[in-house]
Amino acid sequence: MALNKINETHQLGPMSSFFLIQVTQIGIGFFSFQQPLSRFSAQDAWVACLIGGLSSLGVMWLILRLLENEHKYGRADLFSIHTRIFGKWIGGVLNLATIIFFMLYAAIYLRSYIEILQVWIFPQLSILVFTALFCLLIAYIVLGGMRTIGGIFLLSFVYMIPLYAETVFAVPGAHFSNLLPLFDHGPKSLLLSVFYSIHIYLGSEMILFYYPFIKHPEQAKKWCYFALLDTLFIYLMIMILGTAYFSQGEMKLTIWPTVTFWKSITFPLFEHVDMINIVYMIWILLPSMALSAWIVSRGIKLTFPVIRQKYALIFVLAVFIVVAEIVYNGELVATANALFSKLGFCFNYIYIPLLLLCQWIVKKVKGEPA
Amino acid sequence: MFRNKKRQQQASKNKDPKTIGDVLDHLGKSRDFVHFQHGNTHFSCWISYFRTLIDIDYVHRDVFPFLYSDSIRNMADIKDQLPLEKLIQTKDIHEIQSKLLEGYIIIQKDERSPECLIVPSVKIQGRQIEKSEVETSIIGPKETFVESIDTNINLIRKRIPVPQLTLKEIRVGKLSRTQVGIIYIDGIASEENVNTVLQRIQSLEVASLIDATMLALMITDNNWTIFPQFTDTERPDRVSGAVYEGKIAVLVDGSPNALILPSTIVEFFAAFDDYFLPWNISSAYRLLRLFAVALSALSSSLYVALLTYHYQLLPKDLLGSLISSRSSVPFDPVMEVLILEVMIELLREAGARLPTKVGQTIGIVGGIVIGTATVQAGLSSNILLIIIAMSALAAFITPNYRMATTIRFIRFPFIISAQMFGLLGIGMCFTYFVTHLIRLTSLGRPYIEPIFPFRASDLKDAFIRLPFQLQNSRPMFLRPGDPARMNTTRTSQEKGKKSPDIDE
Repeated sequence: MALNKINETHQLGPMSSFFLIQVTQIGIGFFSFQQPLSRFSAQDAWVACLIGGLSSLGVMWLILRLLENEHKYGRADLFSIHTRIFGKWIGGVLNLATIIFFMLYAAIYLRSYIEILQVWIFPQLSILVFTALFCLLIAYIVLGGMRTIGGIFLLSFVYMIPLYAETVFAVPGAHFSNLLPLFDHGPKSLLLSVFYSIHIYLGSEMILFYYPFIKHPEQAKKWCYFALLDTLFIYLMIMILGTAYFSQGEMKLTIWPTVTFWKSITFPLFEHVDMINIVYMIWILLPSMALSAWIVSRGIKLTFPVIRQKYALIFVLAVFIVVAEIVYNGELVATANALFSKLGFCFNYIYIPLLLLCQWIVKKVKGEPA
Repeated sequence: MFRNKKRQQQASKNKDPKTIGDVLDHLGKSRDFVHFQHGNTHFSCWISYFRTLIDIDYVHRDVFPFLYSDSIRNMADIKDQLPLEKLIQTKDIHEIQSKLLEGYIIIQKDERSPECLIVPSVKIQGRQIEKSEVETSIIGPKETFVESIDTNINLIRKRIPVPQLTLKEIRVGKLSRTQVGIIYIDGIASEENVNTVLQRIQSLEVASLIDATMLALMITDNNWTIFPQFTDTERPDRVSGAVYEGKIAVLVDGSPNALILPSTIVEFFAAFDDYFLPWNISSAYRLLRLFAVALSALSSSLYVALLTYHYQLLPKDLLGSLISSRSSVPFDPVMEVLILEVMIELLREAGARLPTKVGQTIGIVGGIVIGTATVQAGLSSNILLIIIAMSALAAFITPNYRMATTIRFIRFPFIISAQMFGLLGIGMCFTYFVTHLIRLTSLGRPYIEPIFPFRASDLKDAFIRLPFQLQNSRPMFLRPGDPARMNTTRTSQEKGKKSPDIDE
């Protein structure tokens, strides 16, 4: 099959797995994750953040294991794993479920960003116009293929560095005594926080789809783990800073703690760094959205080979626009986000180990490939 | 459609000469075509040429005396005795016709005999090599290309005296048959690149080719882009530098520009003078140029966005003076900006089209008089005038003229999107352009190469220029046949020397 072998001119270097994973992990959760985390473990939320991040390393190990095993059988991505292990029909249904999950996930992600835009910058921003224009941008990126998407990821990583760096200017407003007393919470409340921290680390599982597009995957492995550690570091810093910056009382009332402490940073011509940063965060949204659109449209193409990816892409973008319109207020956005972070948790921590198990069973039953 | 095709076929049938007589009859309609019989007692022949194309002095001095001498008895004698190296004897009508049109002399035994002797006598007339005017240089070489391809090749070849320097020649243009020269160093330039260039130029279907920049547009990877994909330069030193690096130069007869392929976007912001200054200074200037580009593309749209939507971002003290300066302006910020931008574009275009002396006057009149008057008349604010003038100035810091026009142009989409969505619009427009750049290729190579795909080794000569001793490999972007610029073992030996301690 022509699809099995990805032409080298469409592939990305091993190092790009670093950018792809790091940038997909950092998302809209970056604005707001401190609040749900500290709901259960107050000043010890950073411990939960740390544990959640470390557990993502374990998930990555499982995922890479899964993909490496699959490598012998041909194209190593989730869609092919499904059809190979479960056969054409059940595999097809699972593929369809995956497609729908990622499609809705991406659409809700886009909608959450619009919510922030509406609250902080343009209260009257038309969702329809913005999503339509944004989807045009995504279409332009995805039509360029995986290499263009890789480029967007790399640039996004580079562009985000100043954003993380400038957070240093909020440090003078922090009271590090807020972090005391250390380790004051029992395992139960910590674990609850860990559960809520999982959703900020979601995104790394997308490697299940673009893995065949990475040259020399064995070299890419270390970059995958580096990316996870980098994300962990960034979230940990922001978490600690957030806890130190706000008292626990304030934290309960602040929906977007990161944006709020950005407000204390001012530069001569940019009195409101928070507004610039929110606009700047379009570069966090863009790569993940483009990758999701690419994954979903590719999934449609692989599941229904009659449909070409170009046309599938149009459908996917139309769904983005429609879903963003349907989720009409902030409460719905919050509900949808909560639902999808739970689903994401199930996908990463339950479904992937199960899939690995199935793969192992199939290998035992059918034997090694020739 | 079919009829059109038929008509074309008929037309070409009518024009196609069949015999040498047809050719001579057809050319004879031109008044500058000379066709006469030369004869003396023991030998006679027919000579034909365009008197406007041949070097008449040379012919009278070096060709005719031999023809008229007694020792010539037949055509073979002419071939033996004329002291010229490139005599062609042929029956090929097309060759005869094209050679006549290039300024060669044709000698025949009889008026209608198909056997012709072609004698070179081309007159090369063109301007002298002059000082560079478009890409000026302060301390570097000042020679520039002229309109004659032979002179241009000479300018390059004398800078690259190696036997591997290869010149391939292709004729382009169905009617014009323009001579196109492709120059590269065999073994250094990537074979794949050379083949791509040859293939793209050979497969061109055009009637005529006037200039190298036209060729650049014809063989470009993407026809829709506003970004130039191949560097054009009028400086032989720049071309030689690029050829040494492993790039390919393309020259077109009649064009004072050379193309350098492939190119990355950062090369358009690098002046060749950067290599004549210490690396730290030239790096600073390169960064300044990048800053200028950003300023030029974004400043007016930022003005629109800040004043229309995000006045919170402005410092309170500045807000006061902005309000007072804008209080007499009846327009929205976007209208104000567009009026001034269009005005500046008019001035620029007028300055470029008008004769030099008038152009300068227009610049002064336009810049000072109209600018001040616009503010006094209340069409725009003082602050905006400063911003627009600065951004116009910044656009022309770009060393390459074609890139400078692109930079001047891209502010308009930015202004419009800033009016639509404020900062968000600027962000989206920026994203669009970045995506576009990521998707662009130059000769199949990624256009924004040192950034994406990220190659740290090529960053040595991109946004900053590191010292020459660190630049010991050719850019990976070009996939050169020989990546090492210098003997690496020797350079590492020198590095191995211990640095002396104080007072040693």
